[in-house]
Amino acid sequence: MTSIRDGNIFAAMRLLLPEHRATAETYRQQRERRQPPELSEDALTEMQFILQKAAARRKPVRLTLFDQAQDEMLLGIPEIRDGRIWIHTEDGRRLPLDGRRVLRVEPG
Amino acid sequence: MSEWSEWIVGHIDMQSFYASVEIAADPRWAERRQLEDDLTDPPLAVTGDPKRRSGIVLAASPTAKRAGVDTAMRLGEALQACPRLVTVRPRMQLYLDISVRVHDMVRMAFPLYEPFSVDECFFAFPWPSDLFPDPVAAARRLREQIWDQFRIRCRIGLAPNKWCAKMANKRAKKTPGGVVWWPRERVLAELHPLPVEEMWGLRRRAEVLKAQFGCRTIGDVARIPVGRLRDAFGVWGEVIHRWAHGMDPSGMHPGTMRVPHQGFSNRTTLPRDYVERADICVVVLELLDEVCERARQAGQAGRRIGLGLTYEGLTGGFYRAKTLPWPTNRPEELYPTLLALLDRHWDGRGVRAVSVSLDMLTWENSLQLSLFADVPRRTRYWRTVDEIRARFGETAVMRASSLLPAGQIRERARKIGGHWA
Repeated sequence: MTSIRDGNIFAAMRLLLPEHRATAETYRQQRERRQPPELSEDALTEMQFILQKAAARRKPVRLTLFDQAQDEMLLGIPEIRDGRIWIHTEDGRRLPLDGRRVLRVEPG
Repeated sequence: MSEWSEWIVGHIDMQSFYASVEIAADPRWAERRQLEDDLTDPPLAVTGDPKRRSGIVLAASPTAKRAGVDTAMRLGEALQACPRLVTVRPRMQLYLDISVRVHDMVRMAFPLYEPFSVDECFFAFPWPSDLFPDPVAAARRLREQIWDQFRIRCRIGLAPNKWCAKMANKRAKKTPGGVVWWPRERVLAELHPLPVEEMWGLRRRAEVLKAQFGCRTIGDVARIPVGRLRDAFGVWGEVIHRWAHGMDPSGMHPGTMRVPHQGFSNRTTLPRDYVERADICVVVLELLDEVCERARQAGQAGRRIGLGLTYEGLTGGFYRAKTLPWPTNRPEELYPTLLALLDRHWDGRGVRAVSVSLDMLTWENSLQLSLFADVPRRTRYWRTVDEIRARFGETAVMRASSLLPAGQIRERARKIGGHWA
């Protein structure tokens, strides 16, 4: 009855199913999800060039990878094998590179 | 930018919402439907499952209504009234999806927005303002946008406050174009000639106003001194007095969907009258599990647990609550209290509906340790159960008692708000 006394009667009489709240929250989260930026053809060509050159010379590159929470940085030597790009990191791991996540490639 | 002297509040009501979504979703009817002519819709009704009590009309298109079909009518009666009636089973999740998207459109069109129900919401904008120089045109534009995108008709009431906007909306139903604006200076002239039964929100109090005070119109109500209304209706007397004078101080609460819960409550109508205590207990425990799970998901715990029973014929019953020494969201701590409430207040009559509520909520940021129970272990246990249910569905983990004939959880898991999901 507090809401009615306060004059905020519509808050007390609101009819919202828990599932309605949950659906609205799901849409809100989807709306607020980080989206990777659309990269231009030029940017993609340049990144590919740097990766190929580093792979051929076995030189490290610094990669910026998209992630929902926060972009990730990865340093390692690229290797092209079986049509895929792998990154050999300094600590000895070999990681497959998801091309859709690559935002930037710089010589390491 | 001009100087704002007031805000105009809008109330949107989507016409026959569930039925309109079903009609809009079927391409057979798309060609002939027109915004301003609802007779271009087919006679369609959304109905519950005919095998159970829910076999009633939940929503009907205007064409079906004109043929004599009405909301809450039994399916058999509806088909007698309108043999051409197209019947569809409810798809609640679809209605919620469309509702959220329509609400989003309103939210983006105006500075303030507040949801009220699945098919109603409020919005507000400053007046006068360069952005909305013509309030009626702005509302019509929104109405057309909703039609263009969702093929759902709505009507809009505009007024200086929420309650008057809701009342103006009622008039919009009978107004070509579906939009009615009551400027501040015209509110009382529009309001006072209306019959007292049309005062939104009064429910049975309208009958008292007619019988006890001899009121026929809202103007008659406005002439009753507030003290007399307070004597008759308590705190509601003041509300009725304000409304009859076109006043409503309710503010706009745009973040209402994300405001922490004041309480959690789940209710179910049973397929038959339950007369055995053991059967009622099965349902009480199922509802308690649902309420506790919702509280845990919100990171909240409650101190007051309530039990409501509605007796056979959906008439009579009781609601009683008890406050515990500390807040919890674990069923094993709350169930004994619910059983005590059941044994104390149930008079043995057949039970047709059960509700369980948990309120007096606090944030679940600290554990209430106990000498006798391993609380951290129980907390981990419930966290695991919640994760399994979130991933694999409500019935992935359930109590053995729910497998008894009295159990309702498997049926409920397929429904939203008591209707098919």
